[in-house]
Amino acid sequence: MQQAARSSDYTAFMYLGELIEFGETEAIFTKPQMARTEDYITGRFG
Amino acid sequence: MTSEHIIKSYDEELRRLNNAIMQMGGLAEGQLAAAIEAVMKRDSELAARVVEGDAQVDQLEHEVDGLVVRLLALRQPMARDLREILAALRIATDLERICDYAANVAKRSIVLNQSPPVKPVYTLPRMVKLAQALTKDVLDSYVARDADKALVVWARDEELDEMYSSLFRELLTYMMEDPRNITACTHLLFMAKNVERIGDHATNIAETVHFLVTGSPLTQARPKRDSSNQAVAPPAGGRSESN
Repeated sequence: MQQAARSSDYTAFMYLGELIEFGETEAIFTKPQMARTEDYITGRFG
Repeated sequence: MTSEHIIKSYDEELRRLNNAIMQMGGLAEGQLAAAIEAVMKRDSELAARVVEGDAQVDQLEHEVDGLVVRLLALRQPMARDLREILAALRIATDLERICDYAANVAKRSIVLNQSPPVKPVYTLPRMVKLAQALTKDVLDSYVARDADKALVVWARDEELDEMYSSLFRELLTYMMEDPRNITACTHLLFMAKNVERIGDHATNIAETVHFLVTGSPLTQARPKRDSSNQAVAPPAGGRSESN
């Protein structure tokens, strides 16, 4: 996950084969729109 | 904090950070209340205790700094967690400043007690009461993670600015009436300025709470009503222009 944040322009978060959220890396890691994304990147599941 | 992290000790550290901020907030409110009591009752002993009490707040600020560094280094916080941690760091700085100002007011009250009371001493408590209310409300908004409540505090600081401006003018007239008032009035002026600054730090905290909750900074300019920077002493014998 740290690598994705460091080296990409865009990030997609997929969960169980489904696309949950896609956006600019900065937005995904600082202010994700979906609760599922936020829970994942902040270490609440996965 | 909405839900728990997989790593429980991360939650524990975030809770400790939160508790340290709450403790600092409680101390700030207490210091402010004690400082104004010292002014009103002309109690130099109480004032001295307020000055001493400042060290405790500094200590807590260091504790917050340590916790933040540790969290950033070990947990690589993201999104909301990151904002929680940054917010704590910024709020701790503001609360420390608020306590410094309270201690400053107390310190000057000791000097003030060495001369007879001047009338505007009674306007100062009204300012302090408002500053206390702003501090309390902004801390409540932090606890509740309530951005709207924070915005109310942010807008209300204008009242405090206005009170400061009118006290400024009032003190000018007292000093012109009788130069023997100058020493006491100058101290009062600095005390009022300190209280006015407390309001500014409360609005800083409000902005931080807004950022913490919404993820975006407050971009509008805050309404300001402090016109004391344009105040001029009325010419001797004449009436002052009102503005």
